[in-house]
Amino acid sequence: MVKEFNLVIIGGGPAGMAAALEAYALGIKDIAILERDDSLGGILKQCIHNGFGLHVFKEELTGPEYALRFSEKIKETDITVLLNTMVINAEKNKTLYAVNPDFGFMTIKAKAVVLAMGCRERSRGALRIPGANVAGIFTAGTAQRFVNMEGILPGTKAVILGSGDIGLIMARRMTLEGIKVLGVYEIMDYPGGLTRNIVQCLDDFNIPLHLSTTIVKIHGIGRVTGVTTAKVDKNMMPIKGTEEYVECDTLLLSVGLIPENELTEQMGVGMYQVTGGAYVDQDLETDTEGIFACGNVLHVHDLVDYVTMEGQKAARSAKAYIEESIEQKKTKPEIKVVPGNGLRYVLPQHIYLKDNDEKIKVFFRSKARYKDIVVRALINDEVIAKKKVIRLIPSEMESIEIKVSDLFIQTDNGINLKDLVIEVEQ
Amino acid sequence: MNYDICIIGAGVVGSLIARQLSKYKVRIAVIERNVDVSMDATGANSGIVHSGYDAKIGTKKARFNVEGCNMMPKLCEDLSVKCKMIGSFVLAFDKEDEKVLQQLYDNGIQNGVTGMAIVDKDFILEKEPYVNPLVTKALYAKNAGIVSPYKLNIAAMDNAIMNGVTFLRETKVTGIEKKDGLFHISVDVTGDICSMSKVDPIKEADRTDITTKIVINCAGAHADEISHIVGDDSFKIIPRRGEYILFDKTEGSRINTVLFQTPTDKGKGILVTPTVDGNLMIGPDATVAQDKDDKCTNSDNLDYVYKTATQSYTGLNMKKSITVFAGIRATPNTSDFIIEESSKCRNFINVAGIESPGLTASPAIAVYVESIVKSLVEMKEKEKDEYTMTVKHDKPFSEMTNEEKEKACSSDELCRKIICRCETVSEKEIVAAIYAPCGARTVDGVKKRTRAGMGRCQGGFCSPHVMRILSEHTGIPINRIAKANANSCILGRYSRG
Amino acid sequence: MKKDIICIVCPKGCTIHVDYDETGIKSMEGYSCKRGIDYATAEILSPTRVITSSVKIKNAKYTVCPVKTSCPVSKDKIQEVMKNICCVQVQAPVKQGDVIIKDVCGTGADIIATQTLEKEKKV
Repeated sequence: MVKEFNLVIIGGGPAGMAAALEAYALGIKDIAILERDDSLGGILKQCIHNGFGLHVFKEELTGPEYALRFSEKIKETDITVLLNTMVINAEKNKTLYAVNPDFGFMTIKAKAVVLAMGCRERSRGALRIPGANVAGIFTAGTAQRFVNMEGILPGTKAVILGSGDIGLIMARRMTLEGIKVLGVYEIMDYPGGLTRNIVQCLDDFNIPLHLSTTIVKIHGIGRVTGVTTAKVDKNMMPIKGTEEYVECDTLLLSVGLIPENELTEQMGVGMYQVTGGAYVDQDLETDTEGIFACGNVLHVHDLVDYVTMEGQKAARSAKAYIEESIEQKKTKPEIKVVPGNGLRYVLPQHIYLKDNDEKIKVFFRSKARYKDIVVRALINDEVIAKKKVIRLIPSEMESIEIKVSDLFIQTDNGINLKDLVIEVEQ
Repeated sequence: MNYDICIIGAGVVGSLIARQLSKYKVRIAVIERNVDVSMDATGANSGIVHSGYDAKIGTKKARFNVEGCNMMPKLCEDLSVKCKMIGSFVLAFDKEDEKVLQQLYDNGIQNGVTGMAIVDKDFILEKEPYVNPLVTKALYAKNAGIVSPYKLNIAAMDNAIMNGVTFLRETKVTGIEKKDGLFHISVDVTGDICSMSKVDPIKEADRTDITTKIVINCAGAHADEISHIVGDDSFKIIPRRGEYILFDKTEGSRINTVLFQTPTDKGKGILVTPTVDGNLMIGPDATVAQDKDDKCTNSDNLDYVYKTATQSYTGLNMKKSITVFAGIRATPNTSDFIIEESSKCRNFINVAGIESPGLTASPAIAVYVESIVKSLVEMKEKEKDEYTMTVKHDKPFSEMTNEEKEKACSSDELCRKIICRCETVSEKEIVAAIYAPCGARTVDGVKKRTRAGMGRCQGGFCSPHVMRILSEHTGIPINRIAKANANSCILGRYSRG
Repeated sequence: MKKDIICIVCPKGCTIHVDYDETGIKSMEGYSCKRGIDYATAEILSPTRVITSSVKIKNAKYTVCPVKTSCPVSKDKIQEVMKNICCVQVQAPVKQGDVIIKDVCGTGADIIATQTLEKEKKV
């Protein structure tokens, strides 16, 4: 079966839903969302805690409520929602191959594609935590699904490795369900998750957070019976003599998220090593024309509201593409955006100087923790934008606004274009 | 239950012997302490089909390696198991290494290995661009390859069961007594997964009052303990652990051949190889294990594996590692395979100490054991239509062309549900794995048969679905679904009763 | 008494130093907006939390339905509220916003469904 759409959005989580609704509102006809699960909402469905939506809805919602705000609206539109649909292959020419129970094998052709597949969790194997190959080891998100959707608990005594947000949320969730959470172990010397989660999920329940500490061995026969923890030095190598044995039957891993870009790579889209997502311009367009990316598949976000906004932006760009009004940008001068002092990555990674009036928000994350600093944008060693930042930490995203007109002035008629550097002022 | 032949241990050797003997009119039981086949040495193995140049001339190892290597492609074809004869290199980096290559070559010629050549740097780097460019020469063996050890094991047992072999899982041999020429085997039940399953539950009668005329000891690392029960202490098994690191398929696409290092006094080196399913794997080291069942990985050993592998291969990206694991090899203190009737106990056959190249040798060992059994008891072959030596499998969904996928989906609704995204495994394949003759009862069992959970997310997304499907079809409650043996249940209680 | 409170109203995470005794708050510094003052005051005098959890549901595709308290409740009521949440059972269909328990433990807050779950035919 061959299906054709103007816009195909892969993934029905917050990014995909926001993109679909925005595209619909802009008047794009023939939009489809391809979602692998049996309902829209993505990972929000299992995030039953509250705290979502302060920026977009100006109130605190739980994950399912946040998702419903979008999915209920989508129901009122003629957006095609294909559930239980797995895209199994994709081509550069925006032909997708997918299967679902209603239509079987489908060939789906799209004028524009928005990638919104989200991310997956880093597994034990990727970390190479040594020890026994036993049951009782879960990524925090998998455990969250079991507890919050299936209603089954992972065990009785748990240790959490990594202080990412899902791990912190699960520390509280499991405690409320009567599971003894013995501690959260974080290899870095600062927590990975949001402060509010440290306060409300750990401090409220007296769950200890052990910084600069990791798990060096997993013990057990059949199922986990304990873990050995150790302090780490500044190179994050375990310090001999600091080992401690902690008895537990469950180990949760909250040690990072990896954008799910297998389809992206199949489509031949260029990738940006640091984010693990596509290499994009200010329109969130990848280096393959008509393919846009947003949400956690592009880079891992800290707040779902930013995912929503990015989804909406991708939809606006997709509309411009479908109406053939943005591709001429490729004839315009192009500059690279690069992270300078103190920053780990920037997004977008390149900018087309197509519109003098355009203002571009460049998002970035830091490598380390900073307080009361200035982040600046430089081109040709000249500062074109500055922003005071009270607190900059690797787990939280920040942004700085750039005027395209400022870039023009600095680039000598498009000859000898220098990179735009975003950096922490020293 | 009265049997003619009892095979203890359902690794690849025990299972291929069961298959080999299943064409005769005899009652056969395979007794396995684990919940599934392939849970010990076979399950964590390099998966290499060795050409046979390194085994000492005149040994059983040499003989069965070369014979087994020649048999492997046809056997795998018969059992619908992937086997790729991609060839192997032993890489030399200096004159000392080169001398060893020549010795291996000469040894190989004497062992009857064909298709060998000493090749130069250009030849190697053209075939394997990521080999360390300091390489000087290599021993190339055309007649070498890769196979999935557990897939071969599972298919062999599937075939044996199709021909009437009784597979007693979660059953541990605790005693063997010989009375009036008949063995009485006492067993312990080690778990309840297979008796709980609605699909082919273990019948208790099958494992009570077990008697048999012949015992074949294929108990791997524990073979010396089984042999000890009948009073034969002629060998000891020294368990040696080997650790491996497995990488994403993105990494497997850059390597074409099995890469060995030149063996030295210090050891055989670390191999770098693609797997039949397209991953890249490095390993194994060799450390003597204190406990025969200690399959823990250790950070020092994994570091050693990685560092040693980088000496021969420059293409390793540790960010792309997806799992680490360890296996136990059943190394005998006799330095050769032990495949013979015990001198201490009539009709008791030891098939022990089957360390590397045991996987390669296993098809030939099975045929040889068949001849031993025939010399001990009379066996009549079944009529041609009463048994089969082939197993047919549907092509995995992930390997189909688009046209084949479309066809499969139109005829079968379960094909349309993709459960494992990383490896593109459909619900149909998982259900088929459960209902296969030697069916999956556990999450690892499904993983080995279908690859669901074998990919880069390591089951993060699909494990809840795999567990649901297992529970629905086997009737085992979801919170009793185990990773491997019955002591490895994945979940606890329902939060709301 | 002195206490450092990390404000969680926004991601900025100001550390607010509060000096207080039995009669009330004596001084406060380190906040950067009024919301911070309000938060720290509440954390000292009567800390509250929105509780999120799930209740047993029959005839739906899952065995549990997520719920929350309709407004923040006193922190020391968390265990008691959880006990109540664990005891109830609902029947699908449930709509987001449906009241599951009215005025739970006399807190003034209702337990409300945060998800819409249809009735499943096959269950």
